[in-house]
Amino acid sequence: MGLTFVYQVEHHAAFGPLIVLYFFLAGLSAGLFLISSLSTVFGLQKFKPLAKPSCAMALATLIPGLLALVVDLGQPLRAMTLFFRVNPSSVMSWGSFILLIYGLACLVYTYYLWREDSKVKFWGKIGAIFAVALGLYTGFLLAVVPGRPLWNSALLPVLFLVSGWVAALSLLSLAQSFFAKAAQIEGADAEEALHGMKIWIVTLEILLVAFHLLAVLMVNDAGRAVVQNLISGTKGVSFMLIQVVIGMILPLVIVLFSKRSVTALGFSGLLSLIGVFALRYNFVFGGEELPQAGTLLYLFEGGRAWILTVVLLVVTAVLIFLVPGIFNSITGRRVTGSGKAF
Amino acid sequence: MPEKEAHYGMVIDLRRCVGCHACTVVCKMENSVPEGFFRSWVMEADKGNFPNVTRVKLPRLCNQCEKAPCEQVCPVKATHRDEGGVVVVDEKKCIGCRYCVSACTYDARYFSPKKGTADKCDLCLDRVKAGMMPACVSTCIAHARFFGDLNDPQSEVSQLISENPCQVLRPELGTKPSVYYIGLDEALTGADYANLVKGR
Repeated sequence: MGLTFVYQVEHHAAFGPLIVLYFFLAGLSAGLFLISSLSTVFGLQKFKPLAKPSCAMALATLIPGLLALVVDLGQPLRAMTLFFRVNPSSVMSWGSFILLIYGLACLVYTYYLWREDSKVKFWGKIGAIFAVALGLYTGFLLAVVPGRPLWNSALLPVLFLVSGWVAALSLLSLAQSFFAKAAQIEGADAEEALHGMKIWIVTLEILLVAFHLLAVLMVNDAGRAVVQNLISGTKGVSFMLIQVVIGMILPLVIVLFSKRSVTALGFSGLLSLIGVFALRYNFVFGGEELPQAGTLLYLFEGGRAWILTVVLLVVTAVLIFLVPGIFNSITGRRVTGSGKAF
Repeated sequence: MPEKEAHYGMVIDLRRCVGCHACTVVCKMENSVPEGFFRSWVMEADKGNFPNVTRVKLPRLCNQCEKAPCEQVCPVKATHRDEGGVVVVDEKKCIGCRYCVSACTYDARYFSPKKGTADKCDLCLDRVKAGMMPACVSTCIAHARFFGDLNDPQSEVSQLISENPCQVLRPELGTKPSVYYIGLDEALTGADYANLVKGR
């Protein structure tokens, strides 16, 4: 039966690049906090040298993430109303409290870690719980939106948490290889630990993406269309080339065959960070791009939001260098001290 | 028996619709809808193979769902119910997060760059409260649109729904729309993934 749409309306996509950036930075921050807590809370001594640098980076990535969220609002000055006009049925309402508690716990934890105070363990536990919640929440926010096959899966929160962990490992490797002194991660002898963990976590990420997409592909017509759009449609380059080949396969191959060279680990980290950002982009944009009726793909507002995204990424980079110094001067201690407290 | 609260809804008789788009235009004028956005619009498609063809039409607006995903996801309860169960956005509370825009399964919402908040069809509630019909109903040249109280068995809309086979859009989602169609064509109810085109 022939069918030609002669009149339909172009709809505007709801979420743009600043939401992608927020998901990227929130996942990254959660992953960094969890890596920091591996030694302080879970007692894995192998990761002890990374405890301080990674929690400083967790703060440095969280702040621009929150900024991205606020500047993305149509009414940024009303952001605080999220905390007193609570809607229990809204996942975003839960998220604002998760972010608030996580942010405070992260700040207090970092302070006690620098002071080498034993309270660090308690705040590390609170922070770790809310870091997991934050990592999952960014996926869960999308998972409960009806009628978007790429989003409607309980695997999405898990994928977002795991890819946040990948980004965190990658940022640490990148910092260690190329700007160890500036990020005050010098002498943090943890390549072994990073190396071993990265292989497993990236493998898990690849499996999660593959199984999620296979389920979406097979479940219905809309699902098949959204996966086809990722593989060979408008998101073909950003998904197949940037996310999968450059951002997932290549870093894994480099880590597997690099014989534990620090430079190779750092380069693999850079590619993984690009890959995780691309993953967030493909899932947010790709998930909302296909029409619910008719044939027209959704419109995305461009320009200004992309410029703000780049600006906030630069802010993130600057903060990564500044935050350890700030805590050094507040507490009068160095970042790579021999912590006795834990 | 106590009188039930009003439940405003609409019936659109597609057998009468001529596809003139007067509803689209009057809605824009009545509600000052910004350029590029619509509270009300009409989809049209040509169906069949020559010479056996027909033009199918589907006027669209907010479905005023009884179980509205937009109301559920609003983090600050800016989206709420007004008279007759109509879903409205409180412009003084909305933070402009656009979660409701992504949650709407009918594309009925948009982010108004002019207001910095979400915006949508409210069945011209100001007009209704003043005793008038929604603008699209008043202006429809073919009398294809009917507005009224779905809880009142004597209302025109209730009678039309009782006496005709009616459909709602995407019933499988369980949103329970309050906009009913008579003579809805399947071709316009979903997306045509085989012929996707990029917009501007």
